[in-house]
Amino acid sequence: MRGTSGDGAAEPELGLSLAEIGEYAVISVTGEIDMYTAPQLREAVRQLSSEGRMRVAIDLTPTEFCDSTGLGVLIGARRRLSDAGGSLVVV
Amino acid sequence: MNGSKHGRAAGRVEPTTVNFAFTPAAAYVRAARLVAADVAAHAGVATGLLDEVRQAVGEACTRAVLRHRDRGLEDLVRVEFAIGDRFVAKITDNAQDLRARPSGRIDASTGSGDAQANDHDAIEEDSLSEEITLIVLGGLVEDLVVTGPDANGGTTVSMSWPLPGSGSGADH
Repeated sequence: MRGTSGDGAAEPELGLSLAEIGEYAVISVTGEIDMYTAPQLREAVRQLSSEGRMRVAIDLTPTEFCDSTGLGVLIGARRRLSDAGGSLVVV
Repeated sequence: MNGSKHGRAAGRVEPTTVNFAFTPAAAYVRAARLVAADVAAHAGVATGLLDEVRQAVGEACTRAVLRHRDRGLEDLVRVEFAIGDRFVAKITDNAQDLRARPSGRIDASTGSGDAQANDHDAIEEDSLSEEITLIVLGGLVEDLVVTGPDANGGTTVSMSWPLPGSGSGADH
């Protein structure tokens, strides 16, 4: 499916990079967040919270596209993090 | 191509159609919205509206894929663009009920099903998404109509955007 590298239009993957700013883990998102790529972002937040990092910031400044699926992930992440005593910041 | 003499003398542009269908998988929603933006640009939709077209068609296709996925339907999602007086986009699914519930619960009369959405903590983003797509579409698109179930049991999201020169009676 994926990984058919080589020919064809390069499909712009979602790019997730992690940084540490203050007490926040900051996920910077490049590319397009949609139904196809949103699970990666959801997983990234889950990964952080499973490591006990409940203060998460998501930086959408470099994001090219975000649809309702992305909104759903943000809403879900916020709920999970605040339920666990953390918080979500979206930039 | 060959300098036809005033093919649009009647003031009415012949409708042009682009349509395709895709397997209801998330991977192809991007293709659909890219085609939408490209066809819209070619049709002459104002540059400032192209992002709206792209987003809206993406939302409608996402909704259709979710509806098929929730019901285990493999049928193709159908997409049609028509270029006439306006640029029209129609996205059609084959899912029977207006609002599919993964739990198997089916709401026949769904004006606004937001009430029962709140009582489950466990609702995941995916099951919220169909509602969110409609909310986003409602906020985004001025001319939005959702119809159905149709003869095949599916629903259609119809949207349109203005084209330059249409309705202004510009004679050239």
